Amino acid sequence: MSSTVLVCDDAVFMRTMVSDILSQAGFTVVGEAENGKQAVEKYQQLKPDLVTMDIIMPEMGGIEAVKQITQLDPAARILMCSAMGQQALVQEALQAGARDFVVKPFQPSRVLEAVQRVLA
Amino acid sequence: MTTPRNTPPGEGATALLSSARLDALREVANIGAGHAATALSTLTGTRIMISVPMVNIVPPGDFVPEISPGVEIVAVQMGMSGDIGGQTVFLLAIQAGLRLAERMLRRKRGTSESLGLLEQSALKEAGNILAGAYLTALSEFLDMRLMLSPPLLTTGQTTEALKTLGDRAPQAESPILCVETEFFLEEPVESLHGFFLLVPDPKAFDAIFRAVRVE
Repeated sequence: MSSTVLVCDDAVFMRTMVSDILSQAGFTVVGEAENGKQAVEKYQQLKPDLVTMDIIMPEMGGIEAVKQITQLDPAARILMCSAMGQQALVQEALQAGARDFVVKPFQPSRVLEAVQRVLA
Repeated sequence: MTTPRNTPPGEGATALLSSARLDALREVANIGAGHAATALSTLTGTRIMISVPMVNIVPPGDFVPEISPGVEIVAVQMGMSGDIGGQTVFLLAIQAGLRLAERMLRRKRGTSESLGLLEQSALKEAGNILAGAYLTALSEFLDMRLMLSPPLLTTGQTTEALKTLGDRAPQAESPILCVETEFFLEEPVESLHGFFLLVPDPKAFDAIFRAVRVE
């Protein structure tokens, strides 16, 4: 069975792009969320194998969502996908419980490599 | 190119800032814009050129350059917070915005007629990626933590588009400082251009100058 993914980004453009990259590589995108709050709700509901998470989003940002998801499930596998590549933010996301970090804009191969690492 | 404003670009800035400070600000902008241009180039698969950054002192209501008289624009604005506050604005003429969205959505040139939800989302993401790359470079150069708020997209005549930014537009009684870089996206038929503006809060400048050790 292919791994399931929840894609969280406030931009529908980016959700579509990430979903396409993952679907074409054989993953099953089980849901999309447009902010951190929705991601926490959908994580509980869908229990995906992996979450891709943006940082800058309305309502609840990605780092707070990572904290809440890993509190609910310490084994959650979350990959950050953000345009904010600052070292301090990458550290903060990893400390919050994210497993890896990809800076936008990205090549499909870069996302897939990170996904494989996170799921390994 | 930019339509000249009442204050010729750079002139007011020279009067208010020492040449060392002006130079430091231009260098900060150059580093940020260089990274932003690389990001935009990766995003669109196009060669991107940037102008030498300009440091302008403008009235708060006139902080955005007019692309050309009467042309409708699309502006993507994001708030900046963290060690320094302010905002970033990415703007271009609507037609240039459509061409950029087409490139991002892998559509054929000239096939999109209006800025629908998906095109708007692509342009917001372009603004987000530009600002993210710009601020990532700045944060490392200045050793500061910088955050952005989600992008807000407005369209219309320059003044109208900015009016709808409402409370998020710079609030000041005196002229504000605006660091401006022009982008050129080289297309086979035409060269598209747009602007990226960094508008730090007045009190952010001291922090910037301290960080680059220019008094």
